[in-house]
Amino acid sequence: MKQRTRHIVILAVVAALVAAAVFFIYPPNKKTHLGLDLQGGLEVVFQAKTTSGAVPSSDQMSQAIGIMDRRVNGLGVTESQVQLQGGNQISVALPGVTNQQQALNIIGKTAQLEFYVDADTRIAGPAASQAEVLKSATGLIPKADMTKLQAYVQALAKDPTTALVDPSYSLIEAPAGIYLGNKASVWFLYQHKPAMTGDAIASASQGFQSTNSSPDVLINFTGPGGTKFEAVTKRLALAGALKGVNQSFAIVLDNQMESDPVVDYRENPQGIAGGKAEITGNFTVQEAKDLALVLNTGALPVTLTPVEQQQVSAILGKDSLHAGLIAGAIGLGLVLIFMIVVYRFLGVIADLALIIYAILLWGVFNAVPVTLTLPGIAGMILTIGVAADANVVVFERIKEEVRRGKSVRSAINSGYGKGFRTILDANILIILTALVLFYFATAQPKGFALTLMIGTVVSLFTAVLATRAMLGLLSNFTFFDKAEFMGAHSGEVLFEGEFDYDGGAAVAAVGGRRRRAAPAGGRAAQAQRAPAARRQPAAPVVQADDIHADTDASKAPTAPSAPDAAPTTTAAAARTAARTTRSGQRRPVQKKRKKRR
Amino acid sequence: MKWFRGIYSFPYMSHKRWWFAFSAVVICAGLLSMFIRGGGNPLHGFKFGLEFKTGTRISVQFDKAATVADIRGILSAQGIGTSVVQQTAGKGLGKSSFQLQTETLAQTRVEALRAALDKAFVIASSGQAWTLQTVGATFGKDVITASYKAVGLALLLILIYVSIRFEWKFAIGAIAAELHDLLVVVGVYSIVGREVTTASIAAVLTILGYSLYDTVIVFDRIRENAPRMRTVRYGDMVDRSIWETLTRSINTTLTVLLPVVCLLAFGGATLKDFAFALLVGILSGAYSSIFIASPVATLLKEREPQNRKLIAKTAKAAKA
Repeated sequence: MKQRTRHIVILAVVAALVAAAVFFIYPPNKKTHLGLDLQGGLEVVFQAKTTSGAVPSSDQMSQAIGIMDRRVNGLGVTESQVQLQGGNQISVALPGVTNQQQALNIIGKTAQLEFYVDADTRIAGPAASQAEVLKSATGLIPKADMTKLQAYVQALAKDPTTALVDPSYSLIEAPAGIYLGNKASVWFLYQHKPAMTGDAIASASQGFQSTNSSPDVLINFTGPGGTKFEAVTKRLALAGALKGVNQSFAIVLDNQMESDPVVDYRENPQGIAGGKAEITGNFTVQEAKDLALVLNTGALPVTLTPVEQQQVSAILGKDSLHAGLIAGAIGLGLVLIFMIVVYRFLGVIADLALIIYAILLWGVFNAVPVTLTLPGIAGMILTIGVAADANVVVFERIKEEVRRGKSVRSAINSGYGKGFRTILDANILIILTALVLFYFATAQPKGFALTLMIGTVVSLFTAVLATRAMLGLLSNFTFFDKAEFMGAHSGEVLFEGEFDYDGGAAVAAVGGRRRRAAPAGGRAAQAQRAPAARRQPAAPVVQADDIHADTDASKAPTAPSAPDAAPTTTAAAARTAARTTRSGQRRPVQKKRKKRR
Repeated sequence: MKWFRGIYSFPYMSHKRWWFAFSAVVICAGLLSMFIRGGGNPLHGFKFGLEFKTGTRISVQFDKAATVADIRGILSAQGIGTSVVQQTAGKGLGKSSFQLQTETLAQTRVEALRAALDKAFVIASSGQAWTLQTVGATFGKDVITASYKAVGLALLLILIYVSIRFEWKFAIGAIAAELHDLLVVVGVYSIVGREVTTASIAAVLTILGYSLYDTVIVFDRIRENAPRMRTVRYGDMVDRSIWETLTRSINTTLTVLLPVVCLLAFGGATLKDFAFALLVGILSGAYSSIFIASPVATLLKEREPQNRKLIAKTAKAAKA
């Protein structure tokens, strides 16, 4: 009875879990997280380098990921993922994002904001190209530096990700409309000595200029930042007053000039106080908002170049999901049918467990939540097979024990006991390799490995524990104690001497290599005979559920007269028969003698 | 059906050489194909997917009819020279869909191309039917190096685990089976010329875990039978263990093959990649559990002194 209570508790737990899973599943379209390969979206992998082109430290990487995460959240994308990949790459998944350009601009921007005092640091420019800027700087910088810069510009033409190795210069581009109303972009060479950097900014927001109400970006400086800004602008005002010309400073973001405003020395003779400033560029509202977002989240400690990019259309995603679900449903259906055909009533129990498995797995996915991807679906479908495998192993054990003559109830007990060890070993090996795959793989196969791990663990629970409890409870009913009920037949033998380890051993020993060569008598002769155990005529239906049962039926016309048909019973067979009877089964094994070859 | 029953009494271990020879032939055919297709370097003897090449791949679907020549015209107007343009057809793809494969395009050029194509032929469903993939130079290399490491580590873990749960001689058998499955899958990929994608590589790595299922079933039974069949030659005991577990080995393979075949038949492109690699790997894994793992373990065990004695004794008895 104690065992019975345990079974009831287990089934109650299973029922509770299924209820919980259903709660997590329903309604499905709202609660299942779909990866971008299923709902469409953008995935970008960035290669990170430090500004000087070196490999970034892990601290810099995690800092960068934090900043990118905030930017992605600022974009308002739900279920986005920013992940470290292989040491110095960052993968960003943005499901549902269609405006790729905008997303890339915001996420991957280093956002190194710099203020340059033009009079102090501008060496050359404006010029129409990088090469021309360098030409006009001839004589203004040391020759060695010039050679280095020229090499850099040449390398840049081939690979746009080349980093400027000499940190004492900045090549800055002013896009059309930024510098004195220029029509095309122009280039400048600056000494890399910014008067201020982005650290000075506390917050930024999009606003409108008071004069012509075009969009701009409002900046609030930090306390010290504001003081510094005031000092810089005061110096510019004084210089302007001295020369009688308003002095300008450049606001540069990632080597691109956003604006080049002047400080009006008559209006602000003491510099600009109050810790506030505006960046007036040639912005649209969206661009101003994006810039504010980037400034708010801070500068990345690394520069990022997209190396891999995947944009999946929403239509394609929907099609893939559809195909995957259909394949999964048909696969599950076939496995369900297979189990019933082969294992009869046991198969029904296994099928129940498989359906519970499918519900629980889906529930776990939604509860964690795991984002479902295409490879994830493949993993799920594979685990349906793995879950059924566990039942196959246990059921074959049970059938074996029943054939050996055990009662169904004790066969179930020992079947689970012995089968579990095999299942555990096999499943642990699957989990181990999935772990390795998870550790090494890039984003896509990761989903596969994760599903495989979760699925294997859940299947251990449903296919072993739950079916065990169900069968344990059912085995108390008398109708259940019929071997045929589960596609097994007591006393049936798969091959000669199957359960007779002593006799069978000798048979196997001789039967191995010399089967055909030695038509000897006694035990060796047994090896010559076709496996011959017969079912009693009482067996209600000819069952095609087992490979050997099938063959049995086809060549068993003489079986009913079994006692007479077996005139000589060898010692080994007798022993088998005796053992079978002893262990409480109704029928002794009958051997039918066949003609010797 | 007689031959079928025969599988339950066939002396598998007495025919080790045949199994090894058969596997060797299959594997050599695969290696040969890799060598020939790779032009001397077997690692190049595959058809690698775009993920392993540098470039940009765009799939697009238009509302208006277009021809390959039309698309080429737009591409060259955009200054994109080296490119492959293919018209694609399929369920849900509509009449006018294309796949373009070009050199790596920067973001601005992609946007310009998209705008030009949209203007000429109208990208379907208000711009939703646009799939783009850009791959950098190092990506493919990274994936391959990572999978070497993953295979190495996975084999090591399997070696350790099987050694602990069974014994090292069995572990060697399991590893031999794993290498066999790996080489068979790789060889089949080269011979068939199927595209290798990250999905198929992931599937191959999983096979390392799953293909041991049948091997564990057989090993488990050997572990159980060994102490109670001490008077029998080791190989015969293994044979018997195989006969006893044959039905479940076949059935576990079938239950996994059923869903995998469904994936192959009904799944989309990515799922098919997974399914094909899984299919080959599972079949090879089922084969190797009986024909590689068990014979190798048996070979090692038969060298043990008490098993040698037993073999000699049985041979003597047979002569007499």
